Amino acid sequence: MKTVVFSNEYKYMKDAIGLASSISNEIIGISYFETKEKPEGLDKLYLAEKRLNNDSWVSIVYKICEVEKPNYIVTTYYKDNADIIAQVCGKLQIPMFTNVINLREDSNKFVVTRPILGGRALFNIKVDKTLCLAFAVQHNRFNFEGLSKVPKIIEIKEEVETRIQLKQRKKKPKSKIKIEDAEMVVGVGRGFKNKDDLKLAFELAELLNAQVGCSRPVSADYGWLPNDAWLGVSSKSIRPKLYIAIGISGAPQHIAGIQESGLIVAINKDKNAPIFKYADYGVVADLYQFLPVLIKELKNMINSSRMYRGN
Amino acid sequence: MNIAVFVKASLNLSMIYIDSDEKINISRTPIVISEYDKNAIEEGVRLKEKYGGKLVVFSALTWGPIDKKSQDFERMLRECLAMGADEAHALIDENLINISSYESSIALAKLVNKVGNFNLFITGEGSMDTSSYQFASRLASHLNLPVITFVRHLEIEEGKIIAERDLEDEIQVVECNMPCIVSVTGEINFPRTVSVKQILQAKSKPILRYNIEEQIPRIEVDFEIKQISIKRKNVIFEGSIEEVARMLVGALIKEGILK
Ligand SMILES: Cc1cc2nc3c(=O)[nH]c(=O)nc-3n(C[C@H](O)[C@H](O)[C@H](O)COP(=O)(O)OP(=O)(O)OC[C@H]3O[C@@H](n4cnc5c(N)ncnc54)[C@H](O)[C@@H]3O)c2cc1C
Repeated sequence: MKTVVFSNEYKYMKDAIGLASSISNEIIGISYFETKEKPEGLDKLYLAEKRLNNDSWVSIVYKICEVEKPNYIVTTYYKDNADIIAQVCGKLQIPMFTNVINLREDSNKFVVTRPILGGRALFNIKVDKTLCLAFAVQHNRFNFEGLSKVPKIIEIKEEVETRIQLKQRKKKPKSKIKIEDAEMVVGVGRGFKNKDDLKLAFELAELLNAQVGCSRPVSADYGWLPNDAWLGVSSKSIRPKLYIAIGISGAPQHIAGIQESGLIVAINKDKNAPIFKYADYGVVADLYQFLPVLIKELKNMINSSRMYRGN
Repeated sequence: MNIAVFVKASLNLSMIYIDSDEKINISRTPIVISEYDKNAIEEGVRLKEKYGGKLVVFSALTWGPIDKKSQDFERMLRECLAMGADEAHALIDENLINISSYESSIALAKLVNKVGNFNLFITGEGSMDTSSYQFASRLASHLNLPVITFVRHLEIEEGKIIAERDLEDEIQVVECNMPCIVSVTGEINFPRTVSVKQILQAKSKPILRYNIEEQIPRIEVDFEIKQISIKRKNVIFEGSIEEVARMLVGALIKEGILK
């Protein structure tokens, strides 16, 4: 079996190679990288010389697929990757499964699993594995064992015309640590009245050695926190040991991103807030009254354990 | 300027019917307009108000059974008309039930070509039920047009679209000649709400219904939709704020989270 894996930036390619290596023995990569990364796990790599926009990528990937005739196409699910591969799949008239979190073989079928209904449900799709199929896999789901294969590199030199002109790129502000990698996360929602009040959450997070995440409106509408702190179906999914939701109502789209947390604590002044249904421990209180007390309690605990240890 | 907007009749996320075996019962779950497709209609209405022209809604009914869903579907189309669209063209066909955007993009591209010429095609970034985020991109391939996805701001200057794309790590400003396709995010505008009265008033606007004329390729799948349920302890601490704080810290220690 032959698979074409694509990522518009090489750094996102690993997840796609992870799935590809479990369903095929020949893997052809298509990508671009700026720095001196060492590509691995591929038999062949078509490498672009410069950053390309989606419109150009579509023509290039389509042409390579016509030459390589892969059984499968795999990409890592990021907005641009999914856009490019969906266009290629449109031209090839093949289906694509988006945001795949699991794939297993069942005789002549694949069983593809992806979250749907705002993350409340899993879609298990059985499809004939002899068909040409495409998959956009969720980040951090398919393990990539450092395969030692070093690919033959083929440079993509041809100029492709593009119907879309890129005028400007503005980097979004980024948090220092990736929230997906944090063991403890404090989530803030619209229960906070203004940006300044978030310092309560940051103080709590510091005591717990946690990162601060948020509901969609806190990032998308108010801009109080960067987009990479936004948790939920339309952004990041996390699986920390502890998630503390503060002033978050528990909309299904938010729950989708946090439901796999080890332990969930909810702090909300409305005892009927849906978040309590998803929580192991709940506190019905006004966050403005409760957080200072909780912070004090934690400080006491830390101090007394220091004394106990004789520091 | 003629604008085509594509809307999906999505399963209503707040009225999902779950059977006792945790499976989602599609037949008993009502359908509504998908969240971001409302933003697509709103953007279309705003552009129409500014530049004139016709605003046409396209949709395919993809959840069945048809007899149980057609009333909701009709209502959704009326809602789009009440928001300001001029006419609606809808595919209702047994062969389109349970399809994905792989098939719906082909069927709707064929319908669009039959209905007329458009300068701009707008749809939501993804549907709220199946969220496969491919419809706009696939439509672009079938209509052989450029597509700009995840647009959170849009301007038109001299026949050109200038759009701000909202990506994971960056905002991009891109430019493209019309005709083209855009998919919009929930942040692009605030969709107007329409009253029952406005929906009734829109009754005079035409809704055209079609079967598919020629077979479209269809991929055979078996599927099952199951609710994700992770058991939680659901303990609510009671007492004064100080007591509750102590109980919470105690619980975190017991769980091995705090040491
Ligand atoms: C297609 C789609 C995709 C979406 N994607 C996402 C997503 O990825 N992530 C996401 O988070 N949302 C997403 N949303 C939005 C989601 O539906 C909710 O609107 C959002 O999660 C609500 O955020 P919130 O809980 O912060 O605010 P609200 O729902 O307004 O809740 C605020 C909560 O704070 C409580 N509160 C208020 N004051 C206090 C106080 N003083 N002390 C304690 N508690 C207080 C209130 O009781 C309330 O429960 C999406 C929506 C759609 C339609």
